[in-house]
Amino acid sequence: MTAARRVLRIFARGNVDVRDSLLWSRVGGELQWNGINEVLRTRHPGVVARVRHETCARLDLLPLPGETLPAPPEELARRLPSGFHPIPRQHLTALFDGPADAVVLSLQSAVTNALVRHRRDGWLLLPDTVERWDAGALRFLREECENAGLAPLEPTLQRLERLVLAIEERLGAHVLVYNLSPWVPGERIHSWVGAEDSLALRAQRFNVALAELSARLGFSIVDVDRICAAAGTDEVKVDLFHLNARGWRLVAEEVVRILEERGWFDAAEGSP
Amino acid sequence: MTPLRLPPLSASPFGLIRSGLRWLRPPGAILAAREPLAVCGVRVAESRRGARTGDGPVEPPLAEEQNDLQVVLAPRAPGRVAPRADQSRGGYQDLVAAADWEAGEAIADGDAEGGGELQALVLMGRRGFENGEARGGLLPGWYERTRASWEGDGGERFGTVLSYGTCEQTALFRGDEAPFVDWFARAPGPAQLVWVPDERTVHSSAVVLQHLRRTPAEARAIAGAVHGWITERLTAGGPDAFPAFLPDSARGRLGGRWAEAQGALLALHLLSEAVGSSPLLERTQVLTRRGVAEQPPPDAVALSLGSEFASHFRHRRTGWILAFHGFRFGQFIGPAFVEWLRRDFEPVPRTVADVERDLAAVADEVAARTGGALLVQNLIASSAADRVPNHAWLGDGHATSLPVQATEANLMLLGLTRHPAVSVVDSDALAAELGVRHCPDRFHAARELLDAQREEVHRVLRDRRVPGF
Repeated sequence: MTAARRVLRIFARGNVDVRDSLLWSRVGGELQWNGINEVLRTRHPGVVARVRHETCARLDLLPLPGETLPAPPEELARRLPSGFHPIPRQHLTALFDGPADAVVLSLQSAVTNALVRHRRDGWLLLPDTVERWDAGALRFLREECENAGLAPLEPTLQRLERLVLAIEERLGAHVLVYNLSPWVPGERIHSWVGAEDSLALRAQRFNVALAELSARLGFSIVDVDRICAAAGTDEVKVDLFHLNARGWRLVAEEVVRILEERGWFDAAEGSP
Repeated sequence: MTPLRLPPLSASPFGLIRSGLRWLRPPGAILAAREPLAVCGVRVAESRRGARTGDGPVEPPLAEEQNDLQVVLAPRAPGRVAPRADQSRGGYQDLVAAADWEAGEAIADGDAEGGGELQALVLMGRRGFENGEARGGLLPGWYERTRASWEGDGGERFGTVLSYGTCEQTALFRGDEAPFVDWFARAPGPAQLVWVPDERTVHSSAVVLQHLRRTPAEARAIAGAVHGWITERLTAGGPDAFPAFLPDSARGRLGGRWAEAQGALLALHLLSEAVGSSPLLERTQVLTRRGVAEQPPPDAVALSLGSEFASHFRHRRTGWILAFHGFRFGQFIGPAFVEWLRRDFEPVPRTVADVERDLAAVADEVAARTGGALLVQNLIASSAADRVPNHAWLGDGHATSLPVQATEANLMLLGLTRHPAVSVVDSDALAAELGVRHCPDRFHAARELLDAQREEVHRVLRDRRVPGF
């Protein structure tokens, strides 16, 4: 008889960083990395992770418990092209619908995703893969929406604080937040005269602010920045967002290490 | 084989004499272009001292570096080189200048195409203590400033870069082995590198800014403070002030140094730096094919963000600011000096905002006075050792933890590069790119990272159109 496996329930809301490290990473249809269970299989053979994943249009579009965010009307949401971020799901989440042992979030969307705002009704939207939108959808975008830009740092971190507190209170889950490695291989800027902040610079600002929030609230940071720097971004990064299989493995190993340090496996493996 | 000949090099209207050669590569070695083959000591000939070009006597050029002038010779093109044995006689013959510099004199033979005239890298050391001598290697002593200049194939004016940062710039600018040869091989010239070490005081923006703005009255006040303290130390000793002459030392004693002198010497060196010219404003002389050429102050000054987080102290009466690395206390800075710091100085805590203000002020001063630019090397914030998944574990120490402070300082510096006279040398990005294992302690990079940093500095200098680089 084989012993029943314990289940590590992970709710993950994020994009390529969260999905590719925890679930799988495919390049050109070929599997590169098979997710966190590859790590668990060797380090905790009695445990299997079940990862429930949602993409994240932007961190501030993740509703708090009981909150209904202004969103596009259903008919419009179905009509507009969606890309990797289905418009009907951008303002919704199943985060608080069921139990979870760990909730994984990421700074990536807050750092890099610029939204549009509906001029009349004020709702926000991520027009993903807009280059593939048809003429009608683009006309709607042009005539009825305006650029809402990138997320401001302080309000985003304030919202993240409320979110972390709500997760801990409602779910009692460990909260892990990925930061973002700011380095883009080959990018070198020595003078910023007349230049706007780059995404790399924003990522550094958000990373520092995230560390400050962690210091106050005690949630865990999956320090993708340090992981990439330790391994060498030349070795593990493809671009600002994408790591290679080795990089994703290192990130998944760090998630497991954090949960080990937080005692989740002691509780799971030690209980009768 | 083609004769390899001494290039023209002149100190006109003075003469130039040289020592025998010390070979830096064995006979038959294959050298890369500009790879050092030999070195000799040179002097500006004293026989012409007092020569008149006008009303008064002419000070010999390079006077402050006369005792440590060396010329490194290197082939222009790669190839096998056979030194001529009669050019090296050994001993002091190869250290002390005695024969005229004869342009065109053959010193070796080489098989490289286009061989012939060698290229000269002139090394110059300004001693911290003129009478303290070391002989034998390439710039072998302790210097308060070292320089290297090379004319290359001539062309535009010399570009001058001053390295004024902390220890991580030693290998970056001065080099690992033979001084400055990495830059000699890299930058076509005419170019000059100046390196000022941080063993006396660390050159933070606060220290540099104060130096730039110092008045004669302030210099006198600092001199008075140092004089007062040294007098106090040297005259206050009791009967055991000189251990070497106590009764129990009459038959032998371990350790011969009079320890008290060390604090006094450090204080004098600090004074000497504080009331001497700021290297950011110093004009320099270089030897060229046509004679000595005076150069303006540096076109670019390399600073380290690491300087800013050294321990700073302000003299209570004079306002004089000093900065030291923490590791120097005890091992290098003795108890008497530390006691002076405690008694007559106050610690100066510095925030990232203070650093930003002072660096911006230095950039303004330099840009206005010399037109020079600052290249500020940032901190390596990431470390494989600093795994802190939960910053709450750090408690109150979070804000002052090294990774947080370094990242905040780096962000500040990136913002500061919106000043037209400030560039960042992004060591943090380079370390992340190659992996921070190349710099495990955050400061002292290994060869591969150093090469990348050198390449980046070179790129910035070329972007800023510093001549000769």
